Amino acid sequence: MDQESLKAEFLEAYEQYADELYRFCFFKVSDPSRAEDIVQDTFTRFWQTLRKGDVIENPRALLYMIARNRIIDWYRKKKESSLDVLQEAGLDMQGDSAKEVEQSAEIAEVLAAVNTLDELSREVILLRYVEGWSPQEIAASRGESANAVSVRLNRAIKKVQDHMHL
Amino acid sequence: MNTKHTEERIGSLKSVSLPESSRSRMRNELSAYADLHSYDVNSASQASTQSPFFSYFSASFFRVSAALVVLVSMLGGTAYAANDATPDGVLYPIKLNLTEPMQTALIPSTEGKAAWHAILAERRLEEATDLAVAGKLSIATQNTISDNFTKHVQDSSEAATQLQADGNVTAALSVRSDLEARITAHEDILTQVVTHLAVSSTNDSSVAATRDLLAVVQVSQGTVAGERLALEDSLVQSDDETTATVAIAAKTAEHSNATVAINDSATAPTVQATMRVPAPRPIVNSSSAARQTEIAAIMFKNSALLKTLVTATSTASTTPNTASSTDSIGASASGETTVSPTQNTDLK
Repeated sequence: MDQESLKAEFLEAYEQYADELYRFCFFKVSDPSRAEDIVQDTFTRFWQTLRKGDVIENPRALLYMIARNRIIDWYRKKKESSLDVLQEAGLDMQGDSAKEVEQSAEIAEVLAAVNTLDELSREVILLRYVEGWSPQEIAASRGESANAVSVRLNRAIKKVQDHMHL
Repeated sequence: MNTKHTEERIGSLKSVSLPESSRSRMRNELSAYADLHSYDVNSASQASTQSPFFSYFSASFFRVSAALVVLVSMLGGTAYAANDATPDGVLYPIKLNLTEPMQTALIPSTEGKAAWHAILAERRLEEATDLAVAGKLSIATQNTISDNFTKHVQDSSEAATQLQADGNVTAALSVRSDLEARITAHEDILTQVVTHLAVSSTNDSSVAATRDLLAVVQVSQGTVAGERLALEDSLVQSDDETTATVAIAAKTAEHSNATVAINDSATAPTVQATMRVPAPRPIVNSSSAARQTEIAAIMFKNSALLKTLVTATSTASTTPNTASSTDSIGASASGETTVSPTQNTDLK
């Protein structure tokens, strides 16, 4: 494969996965600009893998793996309170129309609830209910059994309900 | 509790997405990054975070290796023929990019590699000088030669640093001194060529290219001399003085042999005598003697070329210059050559 077609493939992967990777990072680091940095870093490393000529069967899985590792690195360097930053993020998401404001408020509320979960539960919740992955896919991605993922999902959902008084 | 409802509300988080401004900025930056770190064998090996063994067998390496094998097979003895290629010849790129790197790869020791890179650095200057004297040094060729020269100087210097780090300081000093001698001699030669061209050449771009090359060589000489001095300073203070003195003295003898071989009239005290004379900084002195001897040898080797400059110049201005240089060749050859023909045989 030549540079141009490889680059086209790379940018296509960016268009396809940038948003969900951003959500993945954002929910984990609770900081929009940090999440953007991690997404960019993730794609940079993804390109480094591509340009070596390695055959990548599942680019999405590789991107998540790279992003997860970058997030772990970030956590090691800095652990900060996520709730405060979440509120800032909520402000950023406000729009002009009444509907957008309402939507922002809804997102902020759900985010606050999800954010009370532990790291791992947050990830499975996001992948399952936001990105629409099946428990099997999540299990494969994390190296766990599908059953363990389902159990974790159920417990996480209950915690979110409690927090949101549903 | 309505789990379905909760799931739906969590699903609303899907509206969280990368802001459009960030998305397009990031896309542009990633696109530029991909162009800058393009898909080719060189960047592939640099970018590899896996073991060198793995990257050696990576797919891209295989593709390029296969291409190289085909190329070498097709060219047959071309690579060998390329050894003598001049910068204006079609085989020169093969010499620079294939033959010489292959020869370098076959040298196992760090010391050997350091010496070999010094030889290649000097070879570049010889090639450029030949073209400059003929008034055929183009700016592009000068750039190619300068880059390759600088690369070999750096590689030699890095190998010397490695020797130093490995504790083999005597070899490191010998290598640095040798490299410096080669560059210094050619700096002198190129200076004379530039002086000559300034009054005789009709090709302005060739003169400009030669001047540019001289500037590169002068910078290199300064750097290399600085590195050698720094090493000598540290060496003089070390406990390894005696060993270094003997090693460098032996090196002096080796260089002197070369000089004597091309200059029968050279007579001087023996190396053994030099070694017996107590000196305040024996290592520095020995290293300096070796260097001066080598400079003299290189100047002598190029004396025919320098004489061509003298005879080709019709103006009087360059003649004293070159004449004094020829004198200095004789002076340094006789003054610094410290081995008699008998002694040569003994040392061998």
